Amino acid sequence: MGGVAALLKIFSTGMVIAGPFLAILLEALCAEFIVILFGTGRLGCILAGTVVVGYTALHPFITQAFLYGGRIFEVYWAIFQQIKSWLHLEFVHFAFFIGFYITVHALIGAAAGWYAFHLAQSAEAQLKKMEHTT
Amino acid sequence: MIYFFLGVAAALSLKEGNHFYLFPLALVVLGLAEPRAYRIFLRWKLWLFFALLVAIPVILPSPRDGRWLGVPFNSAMLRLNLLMVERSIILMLTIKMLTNRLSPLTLSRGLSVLRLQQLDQVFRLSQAMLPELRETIAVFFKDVEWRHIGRRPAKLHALLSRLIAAVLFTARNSQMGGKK
Repeated sequence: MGGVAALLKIFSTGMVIAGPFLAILLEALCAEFIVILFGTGRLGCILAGTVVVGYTALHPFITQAFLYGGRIFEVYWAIFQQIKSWLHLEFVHFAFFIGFYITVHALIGAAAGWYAFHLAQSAEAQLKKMEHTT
Repeated sequence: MIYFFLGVAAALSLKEGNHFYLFPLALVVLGLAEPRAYRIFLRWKLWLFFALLVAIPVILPSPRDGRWLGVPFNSAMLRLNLLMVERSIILMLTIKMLTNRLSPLTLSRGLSVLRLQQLDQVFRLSQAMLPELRETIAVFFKDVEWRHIGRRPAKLHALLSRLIAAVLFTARNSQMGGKK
């Protein structure tokens, strides 16, 4: 399904296609892999949500490496060094910030996965009701 | 397809030593192959993005060894960022050129050639279903009273589950209709 969603993205009107196309495809692959390992139960859905939304924090770096080349990280490093000297920060502060950023993403993903599991159950019950009535 | 590979090859081989002739050459070749791809430059967001991409890393990091209109800048970063912007422009044009030429039919044919029958089947169904789904969703949301849902979020859960069920129901019916 993720593959089809990614293909449909090709025909959307936006100018930036490569990044979202790759994101949908890779996120779907991650979700598929988790679901194969843990099933479509509550745990599988929560883990899939965690991995997929956690991945969105890393995805821009993958797209940018493709679009601008690996030297984009030299730019990041130079900006990081400058901010570090201005604010008198240590590397550990940035590591903490990055960890916090990824954790927030992962928690939102876990909540989304948990909700998706419950929503899918309610939708299934609704679907059965609709099929019985027709 | 050959222009796609040429575009990607030109973007990947762009260096400080060759970008003065390779970048304009790539722009001209891609422009001749697909003039419509140039429409991406009509979007102001793209220019703002490029301006930010060049400005921030050039003005912020030391050593700021250059000066332009009284503003100090890092000349090494400027060269590096211009190269990156040129690379991204070529890649964006190349991808746009490819997607402009791609139609759902050619994509479906390509999937069949690659023996991805199941993916092709789902893709065709989703393409055929899109207008019907749009209508189903529009009808579904027409009678929704958002004020009530704002007051009682539990109603949103019921609404969303009904919507998903309606979408799946429409898709199943459409698929069965197609098989008949």
